[in-house]
Amino acid sequence: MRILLLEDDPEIGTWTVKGLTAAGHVVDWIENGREALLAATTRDYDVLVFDRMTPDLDGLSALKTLRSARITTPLILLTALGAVEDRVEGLEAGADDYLSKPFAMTELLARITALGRRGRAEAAETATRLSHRGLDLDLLSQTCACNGTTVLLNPKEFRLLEVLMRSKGRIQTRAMLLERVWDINFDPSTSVVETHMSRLRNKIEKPFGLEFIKTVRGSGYMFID
Amino acid sequence: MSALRQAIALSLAFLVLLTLGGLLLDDVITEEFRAETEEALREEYQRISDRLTREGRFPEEIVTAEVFSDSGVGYAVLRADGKVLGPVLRGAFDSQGFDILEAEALFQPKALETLDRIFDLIDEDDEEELSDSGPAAEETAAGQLAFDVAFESEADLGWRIYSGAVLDGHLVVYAPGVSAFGSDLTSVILVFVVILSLPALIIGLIFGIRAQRRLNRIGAGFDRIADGELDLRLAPKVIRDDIDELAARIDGATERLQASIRQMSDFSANIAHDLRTPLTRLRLHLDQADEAEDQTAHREAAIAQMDDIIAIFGAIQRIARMQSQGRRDGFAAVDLGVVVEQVHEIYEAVAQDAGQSLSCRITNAATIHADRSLIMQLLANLIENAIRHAGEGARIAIDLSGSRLVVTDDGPGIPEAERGRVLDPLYRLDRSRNTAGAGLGLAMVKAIAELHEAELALMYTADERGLRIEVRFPQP
Repeated sequence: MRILLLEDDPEIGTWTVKGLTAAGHVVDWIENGREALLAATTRDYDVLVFDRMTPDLDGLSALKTLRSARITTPLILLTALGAVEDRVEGLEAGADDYLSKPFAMTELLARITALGRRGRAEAAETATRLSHRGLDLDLLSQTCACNGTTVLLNPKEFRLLEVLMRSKGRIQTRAMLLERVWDINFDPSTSVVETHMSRLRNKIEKPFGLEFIKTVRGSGYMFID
Repeated sequence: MSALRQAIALSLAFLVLLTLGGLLLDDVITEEFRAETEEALREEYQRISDRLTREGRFPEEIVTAEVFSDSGVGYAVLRADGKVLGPVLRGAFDSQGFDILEAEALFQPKALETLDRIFDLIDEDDEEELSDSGPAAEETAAGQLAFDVAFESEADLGWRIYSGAVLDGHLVVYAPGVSAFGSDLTSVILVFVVILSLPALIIGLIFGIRAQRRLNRIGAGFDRIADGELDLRLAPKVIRDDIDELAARIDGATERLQASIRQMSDFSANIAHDLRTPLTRLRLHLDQADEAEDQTAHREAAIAQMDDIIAIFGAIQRIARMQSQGRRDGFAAVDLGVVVEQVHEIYEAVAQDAGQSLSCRITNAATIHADRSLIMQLLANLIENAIRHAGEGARIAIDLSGSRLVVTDDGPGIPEAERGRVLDPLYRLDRSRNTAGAGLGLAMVKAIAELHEAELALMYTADERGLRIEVRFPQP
């Protein structure tokens, strides 16, 4: 994917560019807000990654300007302020996702991948049925079947499986799952994700001797494609 | 010296107001007196001219007693033959209607002398003595009446007359002028103002200096507090007035400041202590990573330590943001029942895996004005706190009734000595120093509760077991 990175710290910038490039993305790195705004309006990008506090024009204002010019390229806001209100402010300004510093490269990569795909996968979002390797999710009746056998899932387990299946082959980090499944925007100090994940796997994998979900150590989970 | 200036300004303002008030009063009284005099003159004129018309002729002589009648008004007539009856000068008959004349222009010199004598007598003696004492009184039986009318006026001040034609002659009715009384009142007021100004100034100064001295003392004390003497208190034991009240308020602010400074320094000490542990471990892992065969394990352990540190900072930052208040933009109507159900659903399984039970009861859930995600975090923190510290087999319960949220557990509770401090940021019970978590869970709960103006109470059961934390949100 073609990514525009707005980041004024040389070390973080270098590290981010390196990580994104290693994952196969093409990155333009710009250090000040005004130039980034110019680049975003004149060139085509799949995803924008903006730091919130940058010289000349801060990332949040640049984002607002972009959105008022009806440029809807997906954007991830990076910030040193992790408070919920800042998050809300960023999302309200038109950011598609929000990541507080310091962050793990896997987290950024997972979020960029999720965002980049989203634009193209709009049609899939409206599907009423998700099926893969014998696992069937009926989104209308909220039922799940494995190899034709009905599996009883509670609503949150169903939602967890749905999120994983929609992004099959891509990592979903703990934080992403917390937000998308449970609507939790803080870091719980107990093993909320692990607990529910193991229950889900006990229902869909264990009885059938199958493996649908892979644990990616230190990063999150992935539905095996 | 501002209090002094204020005192002087106040006394001056008082005197100016007194003068203005006096002058206004004088004006009103004078006007009233003038109207009354004119009314009396007109009535007297009417009465006499009626009598003369009825009799059809002028009296041969006007007796001295008639110079002044009961109403304080005298009269004189000019006959058709040009003869003047009474003590009035011929010139007084020239006018028509109301007029004001000087005594010299109104009375004949002899009559004026008599009037002067009367006034001299009045000056020398009392009213009663005057009526008893010999020749002067007899000589001026009529003068007694004149005195009654004009006693405080000077004879040579303006006299008010009313004149007109009667039969084939002329009638003049006269009474002492009003200006006499008026000017006296003005001077009385002025004298009063002059006499009053000095004591007013002195009293003002006394009060001013006293207030100034007290304010100076408070100001000096305040400077010392600003310089770091936070133990200093300014208010007296008994609060008597606004200045004491002000001092007491400063004391209250100082006390809160002192407490928060103490808390902050404890907080810094705790941050230093709590960060030292993960930082030391981090350093250890990095040190060992070079020599170890399994570098990945050390690297992952280092990242885990780093994540702990980041989590501590994140939580501190959130608490600080909430404590600075003002950030209430994200507030909207939040159904507490929905939040409680949601959090219960998330944590029921987590508690089960920890060998505990988590139950939930909701009655009449209220809808409050709040930040939904913060309320969720508050409840999640309370439950996570219970899951982590109540121990295996513990029963944890959420009870929502209206806008009152209670989380209870039957774990070991909190030792009495440490109860006051568990809500402080980074405070951890000694026995849980080595468990995971940064000791920020309850501090975060406190900060969120304060932001929502909710009351937070920790309660303990009689047998010293378990913990009951109650959050009362304000009624919508």
